[in-house]
Amino acid sequence: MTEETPQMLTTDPPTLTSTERPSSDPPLTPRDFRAWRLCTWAGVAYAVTLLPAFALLAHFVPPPRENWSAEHVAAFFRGHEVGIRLGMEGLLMFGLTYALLSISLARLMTRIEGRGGFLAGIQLLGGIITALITMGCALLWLTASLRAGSRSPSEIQLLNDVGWMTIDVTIMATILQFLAFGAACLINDGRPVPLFPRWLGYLSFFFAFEYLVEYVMPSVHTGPFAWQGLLSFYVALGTFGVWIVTVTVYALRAISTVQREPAR
Amino acid sequence: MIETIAHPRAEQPGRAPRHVPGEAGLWVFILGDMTMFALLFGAFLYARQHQPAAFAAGRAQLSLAIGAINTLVLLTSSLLVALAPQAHRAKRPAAASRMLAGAGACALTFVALKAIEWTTLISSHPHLTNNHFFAYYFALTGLHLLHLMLGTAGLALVHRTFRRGSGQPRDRLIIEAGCSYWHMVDLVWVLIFPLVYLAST
Repeated sequence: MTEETPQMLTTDPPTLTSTERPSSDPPLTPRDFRAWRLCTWAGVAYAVTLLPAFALLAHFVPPPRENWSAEHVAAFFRGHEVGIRLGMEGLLMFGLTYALLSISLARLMTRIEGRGGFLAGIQLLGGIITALITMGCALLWLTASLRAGSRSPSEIQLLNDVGWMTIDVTIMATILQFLAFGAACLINDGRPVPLFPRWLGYLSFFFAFEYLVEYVMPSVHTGPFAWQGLLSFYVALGTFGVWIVTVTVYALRAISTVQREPAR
Repeated sequence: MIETIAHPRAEQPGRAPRHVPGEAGLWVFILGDMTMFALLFGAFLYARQHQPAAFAAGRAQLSLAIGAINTLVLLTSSLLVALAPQAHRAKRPAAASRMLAGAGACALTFVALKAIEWTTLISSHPHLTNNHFFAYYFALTGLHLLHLMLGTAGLALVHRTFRRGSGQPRDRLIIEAGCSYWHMVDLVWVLIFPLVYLAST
């Protein structure tokens, strides 16, 4: 195992055996740590792009209501055509930054559970799908805004419906991500101070459970479960934002901890 | 309601610091979950105020008997879940296992009765969710059922911990977390039952 010297900047990672985990990660260069921190901040970029794009440009806070008529929805899209277009383009440009945060978290989770662990991969899968769903929905609303002046109201309504329906009922990807991340927070990896606090794990579980209310959305057109409702929209978006910011703060701290840890 | 299990400090009442069942972080999850249900109850009450007739008509279609039996079933399970850790602590592992198995049987009974209730409702009224009362009914009972299934998995974990009896500190966490969570599942149902099945506007 001559590669395990600290100077291995250009060599391949050492061959790992199952008994060596989790302490035998290849040493990272300062450049790696910079990239790692950048990936972590990318999650904040997602949050700060999503909110103004959604609220200020597209006027989606509150969103076009689930109980509106086709004419009403069409009038909304015609009235905010340019704003919706710019906002959705913003989402499409920055949607993938959420997946970068998931990559950063997956690397930290590997440091907790070891290279044989599954949680990091599950979290990454959920995070990537969440990012893709954001982009897919933006694409639908973008299409609805295209030719809004000449497109028939029922087509605009259909695109709008599919967009809100998709963003709500595919939430299982995010739930899976939160559950996997939460589970990793509860692993006792032997560190005197864990990389993530245990309460953050429980908080992730709580948020994941809260997102289950999205599955009521197709059954009601008004009230807190409708896609513009208190629970389906405001609480879900709020907790999502809180999760991104909290996890980013602790992830940055954890990366510093990893960087200070002696190469083992 | 929740017993502490073989906690060294718990044996000296008076001087001991208060012990949080499971761990403090667990209650972020449990209380957060209960807050979510509280919001749902609030939404239900608000909607009922606006459509008293539709809600009264919807309530009349529910089977009060199944609801009441399920309430008794869950209360029984909670009692067993409260007693099982005591038996475990008193070094009666067989009794503890039996009690938990009983709680598991209660959970299965609840699920079976809920399935009967749902299939009867859906087959006799295919357009049920267009009715606001039933949208809330399925939302509340469905979310509760998901919690109950997770709680059952938690009880299975507690059962395994009982059988292994390794005496690790982690055991205490699993037992207390699983049991606390189950009590929450029971508590939520005890609120759903009067709210949805019994109360009139």
